[in-house]
Amino acid sequence: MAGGFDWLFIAVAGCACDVIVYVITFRLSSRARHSRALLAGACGGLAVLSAAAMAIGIALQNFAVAILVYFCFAYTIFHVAQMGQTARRVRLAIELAAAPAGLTRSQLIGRYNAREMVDRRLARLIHGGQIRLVGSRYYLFNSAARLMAAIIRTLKIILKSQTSLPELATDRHSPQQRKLS
Amino acid sequence: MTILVSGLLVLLAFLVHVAWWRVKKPKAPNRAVVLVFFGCLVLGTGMLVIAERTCPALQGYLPAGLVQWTQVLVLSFALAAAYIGTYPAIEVDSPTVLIVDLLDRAGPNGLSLDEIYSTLNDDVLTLPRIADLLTENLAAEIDGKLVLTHQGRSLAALFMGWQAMLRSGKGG
Repeated sequence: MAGGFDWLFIAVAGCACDVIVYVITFRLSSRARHSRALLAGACGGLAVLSAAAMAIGIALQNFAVAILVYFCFAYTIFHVAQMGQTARRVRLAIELAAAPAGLTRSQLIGRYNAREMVDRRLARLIHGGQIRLVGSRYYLFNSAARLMAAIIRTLKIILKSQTSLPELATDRHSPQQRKLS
Repeated sequence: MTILVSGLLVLLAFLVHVAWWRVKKPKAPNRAVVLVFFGCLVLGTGMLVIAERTCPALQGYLPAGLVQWTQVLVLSFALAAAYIGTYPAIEVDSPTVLIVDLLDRAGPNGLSLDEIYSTLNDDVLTLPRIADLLTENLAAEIDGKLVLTHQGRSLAALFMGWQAMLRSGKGG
């Protein structure tokens, strides 16, 4: 059927459904919009892809290729959607777009700066359960978040990407702290 | 076979990417990572197609026919797109990852908000991203003011349209 390209059509159908369900769920949600919409989109797209595959009786290998293409696309959509919500360069570009005459660095930082970046992310991390606020101090709570940070650090080492994070006096991984503990 | 060949092509592109970055990281890394992956995949697929057609010994070990080679291309592009989508989180210091890293390093002592603010300030989080806009030709500096280039306006318009469709805020 379709000259042997049925796998491509069902993968495209699944991806299109993913985006449509993501947008609808995001607009209808009041809380945890991004994560709910991502999950709903991924499940919706997978359901459409699987239903289409069963309806046309696709060959197993072609189904495997379609599923892999779909998962890669769903993962890419996750990052593109994430960029739309969290990317600093995107927000800086949007602020500059609202000021066609241009902005100085100070003016741009006045509109979007490190404090807002930190506040938004702390709120997301607390809401997601990765960190906790106890009294007036923040603590890492979720080992999955630690694993994610470790994976990113490893890829940075492989690609020799430098981090700009300054050393902390309270760094428990520092040689001085290891001697004290 | 198509899945294996796609995986190997993407792995080859990744190794070229790592080797290039370790020798000298390009000035516009986001554009370069797209070029290296898609360039390697197109070239690699082309070379394998020629090898399959001209070398009888390889037939049976490589995909054959338009459908299978299309599967190889589409799947390897999809795998590459997944890595390229992840790359910005590796290339720049994601504030979320920095916060998690800071808190991990602080251990049982935790951190106060002021300690986080003083460490993750505009020098760490904002100014490098403004510099990226200039390096990636998304903005230009004219008489001390930052203005978007045509590419920057297109990027902003794309995401503003996406945010309008979602009825979400400005993001960041």
